[in-house]
Amino acid sequence: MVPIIGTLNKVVKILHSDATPAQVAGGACMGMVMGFTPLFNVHNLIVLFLVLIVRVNWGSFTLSWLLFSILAYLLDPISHVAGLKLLKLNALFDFWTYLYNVPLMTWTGFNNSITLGSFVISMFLYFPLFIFVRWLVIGYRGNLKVRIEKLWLVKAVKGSNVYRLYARVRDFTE
Amino acid sequence: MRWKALAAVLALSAAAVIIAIFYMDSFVKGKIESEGSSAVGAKVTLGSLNISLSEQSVTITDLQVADPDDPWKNLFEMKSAKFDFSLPQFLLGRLIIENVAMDTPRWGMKRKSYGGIKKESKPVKKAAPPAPKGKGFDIDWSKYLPKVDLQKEFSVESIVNPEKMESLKKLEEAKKFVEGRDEKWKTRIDGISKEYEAVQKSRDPIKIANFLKTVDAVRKELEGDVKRVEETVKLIRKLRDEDLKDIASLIGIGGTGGGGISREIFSDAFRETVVKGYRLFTRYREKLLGSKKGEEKKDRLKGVTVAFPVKDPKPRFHIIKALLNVDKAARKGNWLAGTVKDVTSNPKMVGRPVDFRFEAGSESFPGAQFAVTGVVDLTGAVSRFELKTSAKKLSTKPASSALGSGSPVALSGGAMNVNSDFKVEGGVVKSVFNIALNGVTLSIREKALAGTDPSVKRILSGTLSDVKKITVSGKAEGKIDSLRITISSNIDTIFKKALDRAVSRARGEMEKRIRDELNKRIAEQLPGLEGILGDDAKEIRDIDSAIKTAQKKIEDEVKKRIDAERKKQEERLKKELEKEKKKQEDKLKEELKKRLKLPF
Repeated sequence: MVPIIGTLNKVVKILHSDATPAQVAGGACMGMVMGFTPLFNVHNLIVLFLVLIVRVNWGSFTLSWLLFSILAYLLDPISHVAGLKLLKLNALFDFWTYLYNVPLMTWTGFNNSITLGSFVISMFLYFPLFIFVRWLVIGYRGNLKVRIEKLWLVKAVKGSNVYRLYARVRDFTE
Repeated sequence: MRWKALAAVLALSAAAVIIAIFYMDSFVKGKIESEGSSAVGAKVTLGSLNISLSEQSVTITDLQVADPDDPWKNLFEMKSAKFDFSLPQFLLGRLIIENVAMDTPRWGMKRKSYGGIKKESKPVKKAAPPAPKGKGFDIDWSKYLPKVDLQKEFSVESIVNPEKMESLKKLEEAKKFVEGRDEKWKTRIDGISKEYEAVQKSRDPIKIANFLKTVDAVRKELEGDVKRVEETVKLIRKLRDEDLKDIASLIGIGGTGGGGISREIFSDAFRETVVKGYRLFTRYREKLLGSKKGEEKKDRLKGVTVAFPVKDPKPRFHIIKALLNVDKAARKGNWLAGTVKDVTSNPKMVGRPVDFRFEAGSESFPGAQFAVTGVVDLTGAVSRFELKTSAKKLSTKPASSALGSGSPVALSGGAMNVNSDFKVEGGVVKSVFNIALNGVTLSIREKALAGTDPSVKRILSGTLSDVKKITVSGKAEGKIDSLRITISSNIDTIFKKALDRAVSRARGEMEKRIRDELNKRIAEQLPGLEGILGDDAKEIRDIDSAIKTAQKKIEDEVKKRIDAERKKQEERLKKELEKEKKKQEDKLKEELKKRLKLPF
C-alpha cells in the first residue's frame, strides 16, 4: 500500500512541477531505456550522464526507470528473441564483427541477445513514449488539473490537518 | 544544458576514477575472495593485491585457498604471485597472462583459522578406509617348498657311519686286517729278534747269510702287508671323497620350489589399490579436461551471448607461462615447484598443448622427492593426455598399506621408488608403472603362519629375511572405464633364489658337519693303521739292517783276513820265487862258468 501511495505522490508531484512536458517526457524515455536494459552496462552510464546534464525531469526519470525495470522481466523473452534475431542477421554480420573487434565494445554486452533486444525495443519505443507522456502532461495540466482540484475528496484532503502539516514540511524541505 | 550538473558530473567522474584507482585493488581483492570462495566452496583469502596498469601486472600476496573437504587445511597457498597481463587484450575482453611467477606454493598445510564458509565444525577424523580383502591367511606354504626336507632332525651320526659311507666301511675292514696282522707280526718279530741275537753271537757268516735270507723274506712279506695297508689308506681317502660328493642324497635335500608365492602377497588387495588409483585419476581427469558438454547453457534471464570472428584470434583466457618457485631452504612440508605453459580456455586457438613440469615434496613422506611432467593436448582431433611421475625415497608404508592387512606378508623399512608413465589418447589408456622397494624387510604375519610346521616357518622366515629388493611392475591398457590391469613382480624369482640360498646354506652347513666328522674319523684312525704295521716293518728293517751291518762287518773281517793271508802268501811266494830265482841264477852262473871256464 505504501509504495502505491508513494508512487502516486510522485506522479502528482511531477505533474504539478515546473518542468515542461518535454522535460517530463524526456526523463520518462530515458528512464525507460535504463529500465528495460540490464542495469550494469556501459550505455546506461551514458544515459545517466545525459540525464544529469540535459534538462530532463529527474522525478519522471526515476519513476519511469522503476516502472520499466519491473516491466523488463516480462519483456525479457521478447527482448531475447529480438536480440538473437538481430545478432544472427546476415546483413548485419559484418557490422557486428566490426563492433566485436573494437576494444571495450565487448564490455557493453551488445552481443548478448537480451541486452541488444531490450535496447533496440527501448529505442523503438522512445519517440512514441515521448509523444505519449508529453500529451499526458499537457492534457493533465490543461484540463484535468482544475477538475481534480475541484473534487470534494481533494478539497477534503487539502483541508485536513494532516495535509497542512505535510505542506509545512514540504515547504520547509523545498 | 545544466552546466552545474555537468561540472558536478565531471567532478564526480574524476573522483570516481581517482577512487577507482585507489580502491580498485581492494575492490578486486574483495571480488576474488568472494567469487573464489563461492567457486571453491571454502574460504579464499588474499593478504594484499596490487594492480599496476602502467606495468600491466597484478601482484598478490599471501593467497590461501581452504580445502572444502577439510576446512582446517589449505588446499593451496602461496606467499606471493605476480601476473603480467596484456592490457589491450583485457580491453578486448580477454585475459591473456603472459607470465606468472609464484613464490612458495604449497598444498595441504594446516590453517590457523577455520576455512569453511558454512558453520564451523570440529575437524572430523576421516575413518580409515576398510582394509581391502586379501586371500586370507589360510595358506599352505609347503606347496611353495615341495622338495625341501630340512625339517627332519639332522643327526651327523646317522649319516657318518659305515653303513652309509664306503670309506668308513673300508676303514673298519682295514682296521680289522691291521689289528689281526699286527698280532702275527709281533710274534714273528719277537722270534726273529731272538734268532738275531743268537746269530750275531755266533758270528758265523753262513748262519748270518741264511738268517739274512730269512729276515729278507720276512721283511718283504711285511712290506707287502704295509704296502697293502698304504693302498687301502689311499682307497679309503678316495672313497671318502666319493662319499662327500654324495652327501646331498644322504641328507635328502633336493630342488626347491618357491615359485608362485607372489600370488599370496599381491592378491586382490594390491590389485584393488591399483585400480582405485586409476579410478581416482579418472575422476580428476574429468575435472581437469572438463565436461564433454561444452555448449553454453541458454538462460532466458541471461540471454545468449553470440561470439563473432576476431581479427586477432586469441582465447578468452590464456596463461602463457606460469613459474612456481620454491627456494631450497623452503622445501619442507608440502610444496610444489615447476612450470606450466599454455593453460587456456581454447587450446585449439592457441595451438599448443598444456605442458607442465613439477617437483613436489610432502610432509607425509619426509625426504621423498616427487617429480611430474605431463602434457594435455586438446589441440588435435583426438585429445591426448600424458603424465610421467616419479617418486623417490618414499617409505614403504604406502606399499605395505597397498598390500593391505589382508596380505599375509608385511613390509617394513627400506625405501620405495615409484615411476609411472600414463598416456590417454582418444579415451584409450596406455600406462605402465614400476615400484622398486630397496632394503625392505619382508615378514609373514603371524596369522598367516598359524598351524604351519615350525621348520617351514623357519625356512620361510629365513628366506624372506634374505629378500631385500623387490620390484613390482604393472600395465594398464584399454578404455578408461574398462582397464585391463596386469601386475608382475620379481618376488617369485627372488624368493626362489633366496630359498635356494637358504637351502644351499643349510646344505652347506650339513655337508660341512658331515665332512668334518668324516675327516675327523678318518684322520684319527688312518695314521694309526699305517703306524701299526709300519712299526713292525721298521723293526724288521732295523733287524735286517743290523744283520746286514753285522754281516758286512764279518765279511769285512773275513775279507781282511783273507787279504792278509793272501798278502802273506804272496810275500812268501815272492820270497820263494826270488830265492828260487836267485838259486837258478846262481846255478846258471855256475853252469856258464863251468862251460865257459870263465875266471869269474
